[in-house]
Amino acid sequence: MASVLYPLYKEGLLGAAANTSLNQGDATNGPFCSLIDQGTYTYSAAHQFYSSAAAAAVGPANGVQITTPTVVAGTFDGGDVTFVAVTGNSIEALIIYRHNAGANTTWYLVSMLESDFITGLPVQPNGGDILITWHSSGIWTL
Amino acid sequence: MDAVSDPLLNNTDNARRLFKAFSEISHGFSTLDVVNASLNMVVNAVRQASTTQRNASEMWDELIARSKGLLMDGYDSTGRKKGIFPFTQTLTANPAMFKMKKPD
Repeated sequence: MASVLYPLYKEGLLGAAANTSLNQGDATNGPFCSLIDQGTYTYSAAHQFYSSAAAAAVGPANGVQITTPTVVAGTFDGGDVTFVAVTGNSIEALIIYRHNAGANTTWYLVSMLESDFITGLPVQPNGGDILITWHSSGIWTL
Repeated sequence: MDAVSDPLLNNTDNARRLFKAFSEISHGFSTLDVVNASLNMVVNAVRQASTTQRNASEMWDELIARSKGLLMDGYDSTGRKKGIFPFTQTLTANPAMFKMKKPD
C-alpha cells in the first residue's frame, strides 16, 4: 500500500462538491491532519469521510489543523503540525482531511500518507510531542 | 543483618522496602559511594549466609548473573539506554520519494 489521494475526494473536486477546498485556514473550515493506527484502520477506495477513520486516530481524535494552508499552481502546502504529548497505539500513516462545521460524516478524506512519503513512520508514541515537517516545496501537487 | 537465606525474610516486598530505604538514605552521595556501600552490604550478606567458600562463590555467581540481567533490561537492542522520559519525535516528508509528486 502506498500513499494515496482518496478517489472520492478527487471526484468531489472535479464535481465542485462543497467542503473540498484546502486553502481555508480558519479554525473550523480547512485541512486537518490525524495520526493513524493502521492496525485499526484499513484504507478503502470507497471511504469518503473522516468517520471511516476516526476510530483509528492516535492522539487528538479530530487531529490537528494544518495552519496557513495554501493552494498555488496545483500545490497544496501548509504549516508544520505538532501533536502534543501523544500516547497510544503505533502510528503507521497520516490522514489529511477537510474539516468543516458539520459532523465528521461530512469531512472529506483527502489523502493518506504512509512511509513512502513520510520518513519516521511507523512511530511508537512515547508521551512526547510528534512533529510533522512537510517538504519545503509543499505537501503535494496535483 | 539477618541471613538473606531466611525464607521468612526472603520475599519481594521486604527486598523492595529495603531497597527504597537504602535509596532514600543514598540521596546526595556520589555514584561511587553508593556502589561501594552496596557491594559491601552484598559481600557481608553472602559471607554471613555461607559457611563454605564454595557456597559463597556459588551464591555470588548467581547474584551477579541475575543482577546483570536486570541491568541489561535497561538497554534496547541497539545498546542504547531505553527511553524513560517522553521526547519529541519528528516525522518528515521524504525528499527522496516526494519530489512534489501527488500520492497516487
